[in-house]
Amino acid sequence: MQAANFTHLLPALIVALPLAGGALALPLRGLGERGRLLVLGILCALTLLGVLLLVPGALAGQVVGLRLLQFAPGVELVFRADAMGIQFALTVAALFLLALVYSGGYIRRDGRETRYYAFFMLSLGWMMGVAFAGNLITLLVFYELFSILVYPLVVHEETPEAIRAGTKYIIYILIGGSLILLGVIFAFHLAGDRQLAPGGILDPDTDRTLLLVTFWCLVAGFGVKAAIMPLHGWVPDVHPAAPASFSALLSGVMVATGCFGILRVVFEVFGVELAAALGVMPVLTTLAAISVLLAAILAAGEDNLKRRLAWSTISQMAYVIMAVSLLAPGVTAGALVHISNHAFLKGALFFCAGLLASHAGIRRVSELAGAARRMPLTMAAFTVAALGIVGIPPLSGFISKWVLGVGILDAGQPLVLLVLLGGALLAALYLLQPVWLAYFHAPDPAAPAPCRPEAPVSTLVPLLVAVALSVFLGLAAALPGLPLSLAQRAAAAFFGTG
Amino acid sequence: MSRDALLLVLVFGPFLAALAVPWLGRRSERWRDGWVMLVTTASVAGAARLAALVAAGARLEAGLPLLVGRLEFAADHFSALFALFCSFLWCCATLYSLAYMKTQRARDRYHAASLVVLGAMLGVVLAADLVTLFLFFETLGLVAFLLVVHTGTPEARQAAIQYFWMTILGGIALLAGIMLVYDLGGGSLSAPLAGDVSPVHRAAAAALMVLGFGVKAGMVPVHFWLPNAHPVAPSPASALLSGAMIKAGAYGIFRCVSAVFQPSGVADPGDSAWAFAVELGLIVTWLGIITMALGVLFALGQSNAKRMLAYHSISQMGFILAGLGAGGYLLGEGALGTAGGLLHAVNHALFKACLFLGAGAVALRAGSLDMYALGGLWRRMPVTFALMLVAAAGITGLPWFNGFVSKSMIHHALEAAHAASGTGSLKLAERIFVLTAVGTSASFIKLIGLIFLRRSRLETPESVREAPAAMLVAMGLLCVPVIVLGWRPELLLGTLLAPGLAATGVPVDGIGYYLGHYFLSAGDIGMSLVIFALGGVVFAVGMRYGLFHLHLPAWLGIDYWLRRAGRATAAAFEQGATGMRGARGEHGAQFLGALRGVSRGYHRAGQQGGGALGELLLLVFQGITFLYGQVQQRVAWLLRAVRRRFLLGMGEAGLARRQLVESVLVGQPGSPAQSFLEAAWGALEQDRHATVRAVLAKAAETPAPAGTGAAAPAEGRIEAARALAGLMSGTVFEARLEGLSELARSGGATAAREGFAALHRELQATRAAIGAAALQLAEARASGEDIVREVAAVLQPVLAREAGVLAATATAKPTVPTTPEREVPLPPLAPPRQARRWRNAFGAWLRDMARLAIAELRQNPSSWPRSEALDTEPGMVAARRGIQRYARDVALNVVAIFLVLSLLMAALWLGG
Repeated sequence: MQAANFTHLLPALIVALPLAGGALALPLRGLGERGRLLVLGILCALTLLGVLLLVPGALAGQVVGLRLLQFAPGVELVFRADAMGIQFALTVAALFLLALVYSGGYIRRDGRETRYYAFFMLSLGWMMGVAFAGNLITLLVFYELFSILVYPLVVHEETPEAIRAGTKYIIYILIGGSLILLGVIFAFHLAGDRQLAPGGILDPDTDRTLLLVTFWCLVAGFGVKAAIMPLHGWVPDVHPAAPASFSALLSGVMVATGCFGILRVVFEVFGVELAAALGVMPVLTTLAAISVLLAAILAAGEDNLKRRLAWSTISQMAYVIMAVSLLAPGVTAGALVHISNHAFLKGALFFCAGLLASHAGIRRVSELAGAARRMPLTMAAFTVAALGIVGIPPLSGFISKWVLGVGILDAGQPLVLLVLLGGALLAALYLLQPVWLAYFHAPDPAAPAPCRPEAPVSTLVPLLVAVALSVFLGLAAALPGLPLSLAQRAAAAFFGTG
Repeated sequence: MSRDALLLVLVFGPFLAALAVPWLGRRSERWRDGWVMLVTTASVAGAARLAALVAAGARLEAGLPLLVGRLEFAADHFSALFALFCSFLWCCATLYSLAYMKTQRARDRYHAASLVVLGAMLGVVLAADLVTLFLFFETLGLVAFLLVVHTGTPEARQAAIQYFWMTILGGIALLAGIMLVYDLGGGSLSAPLAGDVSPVHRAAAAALMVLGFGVKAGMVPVHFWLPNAHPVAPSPASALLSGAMIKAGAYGIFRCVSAVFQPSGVADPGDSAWAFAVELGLIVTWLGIITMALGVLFALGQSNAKRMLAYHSISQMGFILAGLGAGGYLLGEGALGTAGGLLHAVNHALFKACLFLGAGAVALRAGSLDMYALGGLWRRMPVTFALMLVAAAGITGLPWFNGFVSKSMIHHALEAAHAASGTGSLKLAERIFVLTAVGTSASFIKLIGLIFLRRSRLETPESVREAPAAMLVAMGLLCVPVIVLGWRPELLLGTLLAPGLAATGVPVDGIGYYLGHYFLSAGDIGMSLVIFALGGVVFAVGMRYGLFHLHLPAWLGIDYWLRRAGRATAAAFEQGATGMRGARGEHGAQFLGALRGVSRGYHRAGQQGGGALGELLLLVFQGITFLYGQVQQRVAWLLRAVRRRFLLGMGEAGLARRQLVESVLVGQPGSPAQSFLEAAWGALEQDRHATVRAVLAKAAETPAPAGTGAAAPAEGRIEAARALAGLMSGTVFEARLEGLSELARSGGATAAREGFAALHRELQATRAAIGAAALQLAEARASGEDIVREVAAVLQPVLAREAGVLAATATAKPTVPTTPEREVPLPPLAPPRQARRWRNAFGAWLRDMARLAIAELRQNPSSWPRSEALDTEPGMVAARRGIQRYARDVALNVVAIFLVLSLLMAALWLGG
């Protein structure tokens, strides 16, 4: 009984821990930089541990629910930890922990770091709230909080570019947020305060126009964050401007949050049958397919390394939308597992980009010639992560490609498979060219001699851990408790087969 | 259990052993060399043990819970056969490389990569399902990249890039095929696809898989990377590439034809699955025939020995494919073809590896691979000559050498297929087969004749001597089975091939019949000798009339077109990037610039003979450019119109509303005096701009005084006036702000407000004074005179007057509120009344947001500096600042709210 109670409260605890960390960042200044990082790291690790404690229950099919707070009758904050939420929270917490350690060696001590750590921990808390949101109101509240409150992280450098990028970001996000608010109001009008549940909460017999408006408001709103192609404008500008430790999160999990929202909308607001009956999915598939290919082509033409990676994120996250829009169980599991796998791969790539910029002054792909001799560990990690994004076995990217591909064929859409594989081919084009340059071109003779160690250990460790995780998630993908099993569990729940 | 673990040790042992190579290499080269020899020898021992176990009838299976589900390994007869000859080849090549690589750099990398590729190769042949096979196949292809690029010469790099892309493309085709097979319910190599699947899907899967494996196997028409990639590698690596690695492709096609797409059970050609298997066999046969013919045709024209050998690898892969295809085509009677194809795979590995190693020895000692430049080496390198002679006899198919057996088996299989089909087409195939054999003979007569036998054209330097012993031993080891299998083919046929085929349900009487009746029969020997003689004739005629220097026009090859297209695309991308950089400003212009650049690039490529593909792309791009250009102009015009209207509408309410927004939504930071100062700063800043603008306008109007026009051109004068006005108004501006701050400090907001009102009446006069002075002094400044004193003289009275005005307000303390002039309204001290503020504020905020959104959407980062400069309109600047502050403040406000909420929550919780 006692144990059950504890599990019951876990989601709230998981959300509260990092928020407490955010509140403590300022008072903890007294402990010194290391002491504060240690405390924050412990809080982060505890969050991760809390999510891990939820995993066995999720694998057994339990869904933990918790009613938290009532704003007004019918408007309440509800937490609910299902398999999809737990998988997402697991990914987010793990990547935040890595990024926190990385920040310790990356963020300069210039008086702004307190603000950085405070908002860093806060955004982890908000994202946990998004992952465990049990109804649309909760989802909206936490999504908006996290979207707006990462602004200080975006403009952390306070350079003119960062400020500009921050303005662009906030405008895009506010417009997206307004659309989501509109969509939530519509959904509230149609369905009342029902909790999210597989199969959807909307009544299929309601007016089709209203349903369509609701759908597009929600999808376009979350689509801004998920960077579906016409709504992607902020992504390539914000990534290079933000500090690398935060770009990693931005690409790894924040863009994925938009996809996560769309997954919730499609499967738990509308439900599979209603979404299929609305007939909007082919449109979404087309948009996502265009995003996959066009963003990849633009990535191939981009010289700024971080911008190239940002385009790659748009392309990779469009896989998820494309997969969701096919409305089939296998491919949905693939979409979910791709979110996790991509997070660590892209996180590692941004960690590398940050080290290359800060320790070798390399910001452009064309400056990468011979970089492997100057930063061997970094470039080795970059290579592995790049191969992972391309989908070379046995790295985790292959697992997502495989599950997605088999799922796509299972859904009877061989043309979409072409897009998937075309995206992989283009990924090889834009990600392996830097590798080739770094290893097989002679370095600029004027370049400074390599120094050892090539970067602070606290930045190398999270980088190598992220790469190791990518290898592990590929090799041991079928292990229960890892993203694949959770994703399959979640997909089974959505399609009522498990 | 331990027997099954042998599989895992064989596959993963080399991977783990490779980890130790760099570590050992840093300590001692000898230890590392010993280690790699130990590992490869152990692999041979392991593979031999495996073959013995399998030949004794055991089927070994093992699995690891990795990747998607499990990695499954199993060893049947064919796996054991491939594992055996591959590891043997690796052992010989490694022994050879110990001596050969002494001249090369990065030896640790070479040995580590070689061991990894060995592990991957064994993984491919021991895999029990397609995912496992794909995992090792990709590893093999990608790590072998390191072997291809090893020497790092420009040719090697170019070939390596081509190799890499072909591997990636092949891998993607293969992956798509494997996914289709899994979707159809297959995937295991021992359980074929069910018969009742969609025929289109099955055909697509088969095509993709054959294509994917075919890329690695050097199958025409995806062979063109091979003659570039194989010769540029170090010789032992070439031997491995040509001897073993391309067999991974052949192995894959073999499994496709004989296991994945061939149903189990009794053959029934009426059934759709069986019919498909027959068709697939026929297609593979023809692919093999075309491959062998084209390979030999190109080989005859080569002058570089290693390149010629690489083309022969293509050609010999054609023999293997033809045998496998005929075996698949004949179904139950196909044992002879399948066994012939597989035996030829083994044979080719042996003699081709030996030939590459020999060519490497020649290159090492004589320093050249050009057959026409070499000659007479048999005296200097007699052992190498003898060993290469044996290998050449093998590949030519002379009796009592191993190639003879497999080639005649494939030949018999083709004849049988012709007889079974009853159509003439396979007769043609059989003829091409014979012609190819003739070409092969001619080609190797040329190789041996030109390099070793004929009198040398040039004086051979004394340094040319016999190759090191280790290299000769390695080649000798490879030659032993070439001879043994020529005498006793049943050593393989009887122990591994026939029982293996029998185990899959194919009747193997044909093999026994061949060994009993045809092997070394007079007919076969006669035919082989006739082919050899014809080859000699071809060689003689070719040398006499210089036919070997004839080359097919380049445009006949696919690689020509692909390279063209690739180059055109690269050029186009380059141009596109240039276009994008060139076009500043809006998204549309950039996109248009990129498109124009791309089409220009294609156009240029087309002019240089980029051909139809380039032209087609050019047309497409031009079409898009044209359409987009039409739309873009309209959209831009529309946007401009909207923006103009919008700004006009906004102009009136502008400043007052914005201050409302700032005071309500953002909240005024600091004391009222502070906020008043901020507002005053805005107003004064505007005045400063107005002053400069007025001066500029006036300077542009006034014509230059006659006589000095030449000395100070108009632009210089205007520029100077602007600079002067800016300087002076800036000084005044700072003085004013300072005075106001002083007032605010001493007398608070009210005093500052009064001071500002007083100051406000002076603005006009000051502006006029500065304007006149600037115009007057511009001439002098433009001609470079020192005018500091003059400027100071002008500014002095102005500053004194304004300071006096401010001081007067401070002392007089008048109570009469002054009405500000219409132009620059005085900022309000307190927020306006509650009733109106929300609606107004919200409306203004929304408009600001929309305006900024439009402005942001129409700009992008490359034009930021410029647009920042353009956005000097006070409205834009203020709104942008407002938004940035808004975001910052909202963040803090929300944190505060959240803290309150959490306290509330805690209270609720505690209260029950």
